[in-house]
Amino acid sequence: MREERLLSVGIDIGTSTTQCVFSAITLSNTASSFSVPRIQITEKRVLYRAPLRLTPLTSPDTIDAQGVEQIVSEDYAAAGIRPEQIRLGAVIITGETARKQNARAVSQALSRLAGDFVVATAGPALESILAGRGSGAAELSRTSGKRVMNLDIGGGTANMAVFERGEPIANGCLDIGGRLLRFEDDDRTVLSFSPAMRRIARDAGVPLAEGTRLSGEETDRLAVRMAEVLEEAAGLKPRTPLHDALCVEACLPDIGPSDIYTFSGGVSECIYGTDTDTARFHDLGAALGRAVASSRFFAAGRVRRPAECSYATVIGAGAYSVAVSGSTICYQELTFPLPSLPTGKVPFAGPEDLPGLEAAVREQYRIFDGECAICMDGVQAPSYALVEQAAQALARAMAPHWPKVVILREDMAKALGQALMRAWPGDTPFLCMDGISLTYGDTVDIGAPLSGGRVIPVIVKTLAFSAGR
Amino acid sequence: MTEQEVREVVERLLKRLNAGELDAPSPEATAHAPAQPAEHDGVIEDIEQIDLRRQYLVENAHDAAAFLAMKERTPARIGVGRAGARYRTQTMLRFQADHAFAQASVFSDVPPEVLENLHLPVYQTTCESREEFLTRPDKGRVFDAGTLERIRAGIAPDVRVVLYVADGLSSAAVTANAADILPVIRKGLEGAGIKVNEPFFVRFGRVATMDQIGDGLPAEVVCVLLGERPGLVTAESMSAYIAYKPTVGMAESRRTVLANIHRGGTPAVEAGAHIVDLIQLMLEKKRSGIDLPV
Repeated sequence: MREERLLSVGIDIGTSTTQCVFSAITLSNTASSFSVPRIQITEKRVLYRAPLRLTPLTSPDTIDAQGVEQIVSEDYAAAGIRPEQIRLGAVIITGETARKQNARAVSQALSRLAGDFVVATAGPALESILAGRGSGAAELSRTSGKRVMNLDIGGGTANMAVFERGEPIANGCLDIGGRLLRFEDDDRTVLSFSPAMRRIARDAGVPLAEGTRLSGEETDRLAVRMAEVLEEAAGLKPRTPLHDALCVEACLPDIGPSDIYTFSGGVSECIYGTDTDTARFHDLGAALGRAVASSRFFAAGRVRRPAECSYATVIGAGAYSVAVSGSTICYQELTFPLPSLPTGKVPFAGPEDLPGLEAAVREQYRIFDGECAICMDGVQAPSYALVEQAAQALARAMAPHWPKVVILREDMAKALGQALMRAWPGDTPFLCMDGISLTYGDTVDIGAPLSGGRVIPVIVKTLAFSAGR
Repeated sequence: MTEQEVREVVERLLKRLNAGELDAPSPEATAHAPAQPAEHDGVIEDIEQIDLRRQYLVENAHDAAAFLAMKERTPARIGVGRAGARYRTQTMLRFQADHAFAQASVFSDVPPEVLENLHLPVYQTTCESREEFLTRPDKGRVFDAGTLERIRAGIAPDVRVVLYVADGLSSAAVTANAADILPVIRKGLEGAGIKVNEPFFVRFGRVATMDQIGDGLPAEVVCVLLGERPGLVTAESMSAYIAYKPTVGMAESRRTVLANIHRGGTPAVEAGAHIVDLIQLMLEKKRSGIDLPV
């Protein structure tokens, strides 16, 4: 079996819209017949994008789980895809955090459709990176050799990620979006607004109250101030207190301007002038789009239109969220998937780390209340003795815990796994895999093995650059 | 331009340089070439120790970091710059050094202490010398009757997998990998309840020695680990040739091959662990080579 095509679904339940995209992910053995197999994702292709729908709500803070399920099952029917054909997927609930209160109910309602390998809530850091990958900004940074910043501006938040050579180097999230302020059908009278919007209005000197009418000039002033905060985040203008006040979880590190800026998300269609039907939303999105279009971003001449705009996050979730492990790994007796496992990183990069290894692993289990994956860098081309001694230390420290999961970066998981297998009673369930690089505090979803059991799909839910533990 | 004119131009330039009107090339700019072998107490650093994937010799590069990121993915000698139309001295020396290392691996023996440390008894094919081994492939595939008998006498009747090492075309591959790969395969198979022989070493041995050793033995699988013909990327690459019930004269397609075992390819311990799985699959399916569904 040299090639395998898997169907993947991405579902993004955002503040304004719900989107569903089906992709085909191709796994191939890229090694020669005379080498150890190397299974890699070799192609990602979008097969079907369902039309955008407004996210159904039962109250301003609560997503209508049944309504979402209804939408998504219609999308399956329209795409001609049966749920049982789906092997991978991710459901993410994006935007304002308050909306995520009933995330569990939503993911339960969708579990029949999306399978059980899903992300319920992603968190701002992962959303930013998924949008950057899905938009094509990450790829643009790889092919151009430039630093590319993608700003995914949706209804509730602006998710920003900066890429160099295809990899994220920074991310951040701001409470800036088109739907922070909603109008009545006349597009003048204030229907409702979020606490973040109140801050922005105070800063811009625009009095805001439900039921009052805003002048065109006032609306524009709000939008311009929001665009300025984006400039501040992007390193195009000194940061103001309002910028810091609007940061969600963590600010984008102040790393200076980027070479190229791309915009994705619903508001990006208003920025690039490609949305011809903005009237249906009755919110600030169109004004915000116009404000960004005449901002310092464009004055600097560094803006490009990415490959994907509105669908960036959902394509990121469906096609770019999953990584596959190395192809020489070791596991037995486990029931997959293993969702939302925190990772405790222990130092292990050479023989000098052996003496402290057992204590370091015990410490991580203590920090994570006994339940986490143990992750380590590992050693390139380790000696047999090193593998054996590491296995002994791990076997002792991990014995009382469940589930037993070891994740390494360097290619040594099969040798280590076989040594662990000998160290524990014969049928002890465990997983030892490599080829996955993790940062402290990352959470992983581990899916059922693919490609004849040779590789494990992993979704890394990064918390990088945010305040975590 | 006449010689006289050239001289005038040079003189004018030199005058301006001396007067400080022109920037002389700064010492930093000329000595920019990174990763030059450093000199300590008059001793030049071993040129073989430089990781070629992290060495980039092009001066005034537009984006050296991007090129280095590409170099991470290939052992090819790219981004080496040039001196006029030729290689730089450093590139030339490294090329010659790698070539010399490759040749030395072919023409030298595995040091006896390496084999002693691994407790490997040594047997020799019908080749009398390394020269004969290199020029007479047929003699490197067979043992004389006495040697074959001694080898087979050392393999207990309940052994299911015969494992041994041969020098093949690279002694350096054996020295670099045997100590790490042998115990992984043995422990892995024994852990699965599969009996393995006490491994041995074959001097002047080619792949097909496994045919004569395995032919007629009760053991089911024979696995030989031997040095690959060295290239310029590495001289330490080892291959595993594995066959189910090998017989003299069998088709080459019955051998399963795992090549490229070295620290820059598949690490020895991972290759060993993969071989454990491969052999278990062979025992289960009772076949090898292209007949084995992998």
